[in-house]
Amino acid sequence: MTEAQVLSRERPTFAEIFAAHYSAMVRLAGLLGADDPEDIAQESFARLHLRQARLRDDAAAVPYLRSTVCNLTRNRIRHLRIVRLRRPDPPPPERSGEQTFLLAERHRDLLAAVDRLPRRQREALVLRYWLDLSEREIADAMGVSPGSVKSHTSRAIAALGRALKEDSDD
Amino acid sequence: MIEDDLRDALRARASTYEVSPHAWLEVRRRAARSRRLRWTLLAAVPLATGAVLAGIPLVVTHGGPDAVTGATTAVSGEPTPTYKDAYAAGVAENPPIGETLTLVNPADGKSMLLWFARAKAKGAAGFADLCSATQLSSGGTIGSCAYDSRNPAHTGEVGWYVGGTDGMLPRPGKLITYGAARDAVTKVEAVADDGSRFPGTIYRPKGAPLAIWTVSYPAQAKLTAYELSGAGEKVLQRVKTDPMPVPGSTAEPVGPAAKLGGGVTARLHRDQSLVWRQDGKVVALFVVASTPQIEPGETLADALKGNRRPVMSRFTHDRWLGYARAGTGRVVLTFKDGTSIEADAMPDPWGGDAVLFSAPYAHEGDIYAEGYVITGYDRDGGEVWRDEAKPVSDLWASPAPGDPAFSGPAGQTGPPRWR
Repeated sequence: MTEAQVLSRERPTFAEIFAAHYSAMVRLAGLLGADDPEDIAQESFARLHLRQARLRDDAAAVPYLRSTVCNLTRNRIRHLRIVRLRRPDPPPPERSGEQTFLLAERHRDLLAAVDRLPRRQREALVLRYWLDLSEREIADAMGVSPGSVKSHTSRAIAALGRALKEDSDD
Repeated sequence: MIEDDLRDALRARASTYEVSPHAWLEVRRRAARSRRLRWTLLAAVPLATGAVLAGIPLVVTHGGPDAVTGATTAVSGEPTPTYKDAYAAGVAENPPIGETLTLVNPADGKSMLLWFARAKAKGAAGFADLCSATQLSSGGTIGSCAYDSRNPAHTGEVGWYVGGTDGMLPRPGKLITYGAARDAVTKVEAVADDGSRFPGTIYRPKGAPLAIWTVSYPAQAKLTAYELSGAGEKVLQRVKTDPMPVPGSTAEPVGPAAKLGGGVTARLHRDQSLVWRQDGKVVALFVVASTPQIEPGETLADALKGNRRPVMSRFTHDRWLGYARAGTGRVVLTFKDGTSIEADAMPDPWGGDAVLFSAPYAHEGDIYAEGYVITGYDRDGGEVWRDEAKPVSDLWASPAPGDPAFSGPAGQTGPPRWR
């Protein structure tokens, strides 16, 4: 379970939505490759606040957040890619001992392969296997058709399989 | 299975992303910036008595054209601070189109000035912003020009919400909200969740491009929408209320809530918010900071020391509450007429080396205009400190009692005078 549910019969307030979903949105941005996941999440919530009254219903708030996190992360990565054309990559961020422990050995190759996936394939995988969203929900978040989701997901899984096989062959 | 490994791996990586304890404050700041994009001026507001408008603590120094908010600190014993005039600065930067409207804030009888100005934001050329300058009862003024970045032309709308005192802390007993309306709108009513209705007023300042609607209502009412009606009382549009984020804090509490009696609690959070609730409802908020920059981990004692004050307090419509130097056993608030109220102090439960207090408050008249003194006593009854709040003068003339609003001519050099 990655997102807490807002258990309220009344319309959830913005503060309640924030409390229930903020950390999940930070994590989503991080898993999608954002260099500053909190910045992406905070901007997404600020935009939600601006639009909340115009959303079609209360249930639309979280899908709106997911979609905004995807879009903002995508834009941010694109921006960074352009910036990096002009200067060398910074050194990778140092991870704490605890973080290193959490990312057990068996996950490292897999996650490295995820990081190398094309952007759309990575989005589809994270939304499918971390948030457990349906194809329709993933399509809404990515702004593509359900058919594209299916195709991105299957290609991504195939690419991961190939990458892991290559790693084990080395 | 690669899918199962992928789930585990993503879950493990997700758990490594940490969340800032200041996230809620930052989101509120961004949300407010989106809504009220251009602040014209934030005039001097004493931190000790300053209000929190729209859920934003007044903690950033020196307001400017792009500042979210601003504050300076009044030091006990120094001369009364000189307040800048947000209206004068506002119209200098955003000249009025048509007359300026003067409203009466139902909470304190102070003036609120509203005027239209040419929109300056990118993509908003040819449209008008509704600007405001509000006089705070604690002294000083704040001003802003609001425009809707989503739809600056307000296509398809006959009226819209712009602002009001609905996000203000300490929570006033009566609130006023306002917005803009097109010519077709002849009536406005606020609708609450229990079905009660609060009729408002439509003003048409001479020469202004749009009308201004206002609604006053009791703070306990939970509004759901504003109804804008036209000819034949036909409802032309329902504007759903879009309240600012709840001005409390969702950051992790530093420790337990302090219970002060009378249903009042205080709780310090890791984002340095000291949130006061009465019967569960947020009634006041202090930002615990020794400087205009919020630093995590500062204690109440740090904030008092940094602001060179022995006490920080607020007045809600029926409560006086705050915190003071350690060693204080009792605090006494003395009004100009010599009458007083007092409260026992209790140590703050967060190890901050300060005390908390709260007492019922009722006072006829404007305590800020009169000035007041707060005195601290130790457990033995000896005076340990004294904090004098100098009288605060109104910057602008208020409309005459009984008259709800006034439109003054455009281009005048000062704020409109009631006549």
